[in-house]
Amino acid sequence: MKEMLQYVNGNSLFHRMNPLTKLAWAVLICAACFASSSHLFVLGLLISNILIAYAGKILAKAKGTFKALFILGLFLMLFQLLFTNTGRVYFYILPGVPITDDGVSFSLLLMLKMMAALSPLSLMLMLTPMNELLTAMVDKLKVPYQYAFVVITALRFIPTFSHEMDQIMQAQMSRGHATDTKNPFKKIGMVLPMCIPLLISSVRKIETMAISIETRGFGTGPRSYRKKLEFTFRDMMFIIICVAVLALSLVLR
Amino acid sequence: MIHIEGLSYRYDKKAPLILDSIDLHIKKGDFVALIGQNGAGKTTLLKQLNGLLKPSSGRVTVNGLDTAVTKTSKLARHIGYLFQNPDHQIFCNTIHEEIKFGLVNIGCSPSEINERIERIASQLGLTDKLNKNPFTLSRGERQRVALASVLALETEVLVLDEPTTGQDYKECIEIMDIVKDLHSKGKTIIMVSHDMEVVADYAQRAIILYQGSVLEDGPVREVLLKEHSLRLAGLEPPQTVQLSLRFGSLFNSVFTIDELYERVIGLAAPQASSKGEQS
Repeated sequence: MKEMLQYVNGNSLFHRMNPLTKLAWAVLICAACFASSSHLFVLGLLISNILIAYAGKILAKAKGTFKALFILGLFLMLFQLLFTNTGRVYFYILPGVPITDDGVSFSLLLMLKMMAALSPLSLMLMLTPMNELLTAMVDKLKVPYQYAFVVITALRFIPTFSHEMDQIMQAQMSRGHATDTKNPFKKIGMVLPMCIPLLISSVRKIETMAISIETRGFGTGPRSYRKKLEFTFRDMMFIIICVAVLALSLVLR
Repeated sequence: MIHIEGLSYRYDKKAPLILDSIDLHIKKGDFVALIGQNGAGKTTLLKQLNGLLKPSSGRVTVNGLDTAVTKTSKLARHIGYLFQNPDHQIFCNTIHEEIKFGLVNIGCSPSEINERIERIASQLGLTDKLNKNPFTLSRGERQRVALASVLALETEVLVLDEPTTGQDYKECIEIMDIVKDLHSKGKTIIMVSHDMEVVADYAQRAIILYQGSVLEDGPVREVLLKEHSLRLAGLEPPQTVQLSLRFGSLFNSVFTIDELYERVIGLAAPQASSKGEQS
């Protein structure tokens, strides 16, 4: 959970790729997933995502992401399954709630789409150092620096807050607060008050950071970049492949 | 009281060992200072004691309870734990509630709760601040609120992760004197500190952790003289000890500032009187 959306250091082909290429990949694959209505095609995309994670040597860390998406997809699938009543009826799970062949097919597709469309985005974040992404967004996509900074900082703080929350929970456990109970409902009730110290320390941290970056001249004028991002032939090819995949999804629908 | 046998710990299977086969036995009434560089594993070891972290191999028992299978919230009745950062611990709207929180958790009676809060607050100089919001206080005061909320539990063992950070010299002495007082009443104290003067003044036993293993373990007055081990662990002996290391017999067995004062007075007195005669 903690490692979700967090950059994993590495030197694979995908790590070295231009951040814009990876961004394009994430967006194009996402679009292709939604455009397509073929189970096999979407499954193929999902497998390609897993292969990219493998090639980037982040599969072990990306497992959590895939698992979370799988669980989310499972929920969607369940609802879709229960609320579709067109097509041939297999059986009635409850009176008036049929399970149909359309339902099975749609819900399965939805789940696959969910996983295949959202995983590239999180893989992209795991394969791209934040500052490179920032540079790409500001320098090439002309996103105003302040806005880009907000987005990147928000992502950057996720693991920090998650760690902070762990510490807070531990501190309360040490005072005999039974947050280590197995009952999930009890646990939620006990954990909620812990959000107060988290909120306070977050606001403190962010305030300190705001002051500290201001004292170092944040937002005063045109910036320079330490690293020039290069757009290579390889990046070009990769984008062309992704565009082709999107085109294919439109043709095959 | 606390038995640690062959304790090793790593955060996950591929990660390096943070604690490497540690064997320790902490007796009832010990006053132990755990010293070592940042990253030596001090906090990790402390968290093993109340089950916040479970051993990767080996065994930790507190009062006969195996921490691997006992919930931390249950161990809290035996072992009080002060966190390094008070902001992780404080979340109530008033200091009163903050101290009460732990007492309710362990099931104290209302009269007992009030009695303990009053006593702790006066000990730590928080009496007139009891209805204040902890987050409006200074860092040093918040540290004392956190300490108060732990002391109120009156556990047999107290684990203190840098209790004097953010305190000025006077507050530091005040806090350590309270800890000393608790120790004299039979509590077992285990403390992490970076302040070698505090260690020399208050602890009885010192353990140097170095890269996850115990480098030295013994009476403070022996451990703090082991210059080589201290340097290896990135520590400096207290200045008083450095004096005795440099000038040998002149400052032999001088450890605390008070002892140094006595010795200097002792050394100066005959000379002063002889000087007086000359003039």
